[in-house]
Amino acid sequence: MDEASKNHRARRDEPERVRPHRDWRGLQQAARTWQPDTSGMKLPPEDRSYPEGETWGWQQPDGPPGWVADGQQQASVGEQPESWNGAVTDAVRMGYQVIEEHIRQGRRTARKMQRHEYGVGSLGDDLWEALQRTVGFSEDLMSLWIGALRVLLPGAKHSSPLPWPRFSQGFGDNGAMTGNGHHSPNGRLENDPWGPSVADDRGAPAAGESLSPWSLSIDVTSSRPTRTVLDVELRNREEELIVEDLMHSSDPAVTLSEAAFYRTPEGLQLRVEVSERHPPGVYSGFVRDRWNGSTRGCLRVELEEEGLDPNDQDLNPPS
Amino acid sequence: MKPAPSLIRAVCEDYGGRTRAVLASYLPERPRDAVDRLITEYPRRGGKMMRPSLLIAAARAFGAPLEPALHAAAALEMLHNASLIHDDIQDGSEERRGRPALHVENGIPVALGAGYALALQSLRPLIDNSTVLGPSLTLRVFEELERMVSEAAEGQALELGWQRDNVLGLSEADYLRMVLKKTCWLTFIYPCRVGALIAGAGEARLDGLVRFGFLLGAVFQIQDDILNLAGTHELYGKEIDGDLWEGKRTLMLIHLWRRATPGERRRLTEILSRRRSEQCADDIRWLRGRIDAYGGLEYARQYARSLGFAALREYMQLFAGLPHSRDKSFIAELVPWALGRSS
Repeated sequence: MDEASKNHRARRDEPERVRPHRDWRGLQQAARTWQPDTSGMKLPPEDRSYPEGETWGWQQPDGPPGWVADGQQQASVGEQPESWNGAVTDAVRMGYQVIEEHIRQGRRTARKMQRHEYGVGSLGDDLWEALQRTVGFSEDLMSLWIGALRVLLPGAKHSSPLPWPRFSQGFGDNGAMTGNGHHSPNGRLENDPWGPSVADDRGAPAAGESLSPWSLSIDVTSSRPTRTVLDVELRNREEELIVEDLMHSSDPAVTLSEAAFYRTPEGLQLRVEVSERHPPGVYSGFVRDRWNGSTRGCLRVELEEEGLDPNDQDLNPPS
Repeated sequence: MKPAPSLIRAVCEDYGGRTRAVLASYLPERPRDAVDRLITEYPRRGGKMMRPSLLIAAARAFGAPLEPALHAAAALEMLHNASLIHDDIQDGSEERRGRPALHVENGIPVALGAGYALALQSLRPLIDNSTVLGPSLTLRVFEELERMVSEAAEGQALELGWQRDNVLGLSEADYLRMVLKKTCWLTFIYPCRVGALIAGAGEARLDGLVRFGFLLGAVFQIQDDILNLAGTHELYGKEIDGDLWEGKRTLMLIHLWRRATPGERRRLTEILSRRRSEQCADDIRWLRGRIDAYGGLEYARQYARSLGFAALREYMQLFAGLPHSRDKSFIAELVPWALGRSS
């Protein structure tokens, strides 16, 4: 987009402010016709272990895990897209859930390992016995070496048991601050017309680099509710960034290419234009240095269905 | 997507070459027997040297000197080679790095011995590091190694248990749990954490590296699973469709099971209950056809992409505040590289 066209861009009216929208996933609640099948796995704990509103993937599954099509007809090549949804919707949420669970159960699992309880039954053939021997050998070997080290290195302070990493906090509850869509270099910036913009300040500038007065902002032109999340590392005032075509999460052939960085007197501005032709969903792509192609961050645009009124949904039930 | 393969290649060549030189100094100069010969030759089969490069890059990005990072990297590469030998035996794999797997060439007893010998040898560079790192930090690295070995062994046991018991109906969370242990600890979490430890990073940063390593490792493994079906033998270096022959529970197989009709599930159950030696090519072709029909490959690609962006975000929180360097850029580029790699 050139400067001239920028000055004549059609803009939608400022959307009416409603109560803060804190859960993007909740937007889909009214449209869902099924509940996730949780029989095969534990539900995520109430305490969030993943970024607030984070999906990076499909928004609306078309059927529950384990769903089987009626008619028992075999699928033919080419009919796949409608079937991708499901669990991919929450890939990132699930990933963080797994890490959280990993930390909680880590020590318990380690103890089970020592007792050779692998949860797959007591198996007797050669392969399984060989595997058990390998595991036992590894454990014994490591214990032996660490024991020997303690003897050989008398000055060593034994810090065991090794502290397991903590994952109790999600992204959203660490250092968040509110703003107006402007943010100092490095870090996270969100633009959400239904709620306050939130900038996450954890990506601090390099050591010795002061927080410069210039800012990074997002300008979204869309007739529909659109949430934009930018994670980017900025190194200097002069650099030029580009956004790769943003790919739709459920159809890689659908892209949103109208996203670009522009210089403004205040600093850098990301402009995103969403047209009527863009289907709802999550679009994501890398942010790169224009000149050397190095990866500088990522951009996600979450586009809601037209006409979905957040006031019609119980997004944030009173606590 | 335009990853920066040249940077990945350059760093892996640089740090990989240095690591190989250190590694070679710990191997027998004059092999005394078959096992000596194998542990001298096997690490020379090649490989991307991504793990040691990541360890060194993490150490350097956090401000560590090169020498102790090189020794830790050599230890890691030896241990990785040892694990490959044993994994191939356990998985029944026939090829590795474009050649017959070690046990195929030399028999299981000799290959097992070579794996154990390499694993033992891998500890020596870490011991030698104590003169630079001091006793406390050396012990801390060993504790990290202890945990990584336990996690990796458990992950391998989980996967083999699923195959052995013909466990079906697994969820994506089950798969991610297995990958976290089997792949992520050895390949990404341990290298990053040991590199950071050598540089004196605090526990808070080490915690973040588990997240980053897990997300990046999951992307890496999913892409590896995809390449196993859709890659080229020349680039991939392993048997195409080998995971299907071995009945590995990949994301694509989990997706297929979910989408399959009852009739298809019955056939799936029957096929996956067989040992590799009992499989027939027609069934494997049918499996592959069903995965394609239900869009399993694209599903896995999109799944990996979602996790990849989360990994990049973790990277930014961990590294964005560090001084800019080639090492830091290398770590960032691992995300698009893992998503787009063909080998």
